[in-house]
Amino acid sequence: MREARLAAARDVYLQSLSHRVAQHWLRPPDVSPDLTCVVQVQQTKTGEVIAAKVVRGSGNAVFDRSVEAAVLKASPLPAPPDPELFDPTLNVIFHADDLSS
Amino acid sequence: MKQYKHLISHLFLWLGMLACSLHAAHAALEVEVTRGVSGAFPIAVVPFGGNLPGAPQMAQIIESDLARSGRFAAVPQSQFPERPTQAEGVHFDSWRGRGAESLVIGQLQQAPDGQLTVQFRLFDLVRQAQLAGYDLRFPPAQWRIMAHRIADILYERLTGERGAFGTRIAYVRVGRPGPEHFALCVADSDGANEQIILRSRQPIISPAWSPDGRRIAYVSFESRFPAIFVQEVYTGKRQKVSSRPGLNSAPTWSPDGQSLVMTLSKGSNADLYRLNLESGQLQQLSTDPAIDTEASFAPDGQSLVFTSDRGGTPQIYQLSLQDGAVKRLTFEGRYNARARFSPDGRYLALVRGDGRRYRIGVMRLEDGLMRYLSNGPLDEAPSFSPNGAMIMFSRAAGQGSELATVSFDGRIAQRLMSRGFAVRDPAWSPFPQAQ
Repeated sequence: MREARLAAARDVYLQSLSHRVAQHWLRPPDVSPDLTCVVQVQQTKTGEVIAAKVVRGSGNAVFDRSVEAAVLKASPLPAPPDPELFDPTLNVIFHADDLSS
Repeated sequence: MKQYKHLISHLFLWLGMLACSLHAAHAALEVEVTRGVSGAFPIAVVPFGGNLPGAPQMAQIIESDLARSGRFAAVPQSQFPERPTQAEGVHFDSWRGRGAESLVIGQLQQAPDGQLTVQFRLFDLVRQAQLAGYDLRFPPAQWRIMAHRIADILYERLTGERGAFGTRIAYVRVGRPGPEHFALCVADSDGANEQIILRSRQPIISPAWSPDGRRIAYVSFESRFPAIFVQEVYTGKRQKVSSRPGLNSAPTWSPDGQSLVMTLSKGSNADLYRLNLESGQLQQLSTDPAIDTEASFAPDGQSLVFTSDRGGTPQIYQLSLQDGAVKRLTFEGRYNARARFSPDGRYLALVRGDGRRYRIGVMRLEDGLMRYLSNGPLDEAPSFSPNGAMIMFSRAAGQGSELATVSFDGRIAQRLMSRGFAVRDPAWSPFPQAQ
């Protein structure tokens, strides 16, 4: 019961994090749709981003810079709905695929 | 029993904590992001330091170049917390919340030998780091072109694509009747530094740059009949390459620069011909009884597009130079003309008209999808920048016409210049070739 509630809360948390970062992601136009970049984020209990580092680059410096900037600008990150979900380290995975609009 | 229960709950709590900490240690939360916002990248360009008169203007040119591309939004100076001219004067924290994501500063100085030096720096304000720093030396007369080059460096650094602000444009200016009624001009990509390379009492039309950017082909009516000339831009030396009876019009260069494709009527029907500039050999490319004109080569040289009224209305067709096959490309609109390939060969810029207004659009060749970039009512002669990021065209203004640019996504459109009675037929130069 608690586990199910936690799993649901976790989904909500991930969505709010994704939304918050996406709002600050100024995506570069005309990049290849298969680019992926992973940024490791260190955050404080209050959601302040203290570090953001590309741990798996896309090979496109402009794309990588844009996603790193997105995470830094998204600070402070939203708090989890359940404090148990807090994690000081987040991996944010950016996909370039939805760039056609 | 009570004690036992307590122990069990304790154990569970402990196990739970263990699981939690294991979870945290082994798998950080993974957040997926696939959507971002599209828009211009906010940049602050601080007026350059130094007591030379050109210093503030240089930053202004850089700023307007970047903004005109549609890829950047210039942060207004009223938002600047400080106006540093050297790296030591930049306080990253004070730029927080000012809307800028990058910062350009610089300094212009004159060396004892009269040469100018500009030192400029580009900072990433979000990551609080310097991205680029250059010291450039140049003769005072080149300060404008230097500003465009700096804009090119910044553009490439921030977008990953080559900038085209340092390239040139050619166009025809129409003035008052007289010896300079028509003037073929060359200018910087922002319209400044205009130089007239040919004056005439009779019309000059359809300038086209050679792929090496050293020559311009055009049609001149100076002998009352149309003739095609090729002129060296810097020496002014020119050669008449075609003055056959009837039409001699719409020259375009093959990508290797060795031949021109043009429309000739030779007294009868207007067809496309290829003229080898070296040998003078002429080869007929189209034979349809309709008018075939306004050819433009695909960047790979394997095909060309042209305008023809063979279907009843002017439409765009593609001619394969491999097998001579002709394919119609436009099916919507009563008027499609003056197509030009994008530098990557994936799009055509063209004029589409519905009888009420004529607008510039780009059509994706893969699926024919068309996007309008201008509103008309009388827009003409689209020409791609050599990096494909912008399109220049002419549009009706007052009694005459003016030049305008629009970003490839259509978001940023700007009047470039209006001089004399009319400015028309813009042609954007290729990138300068490496020496």
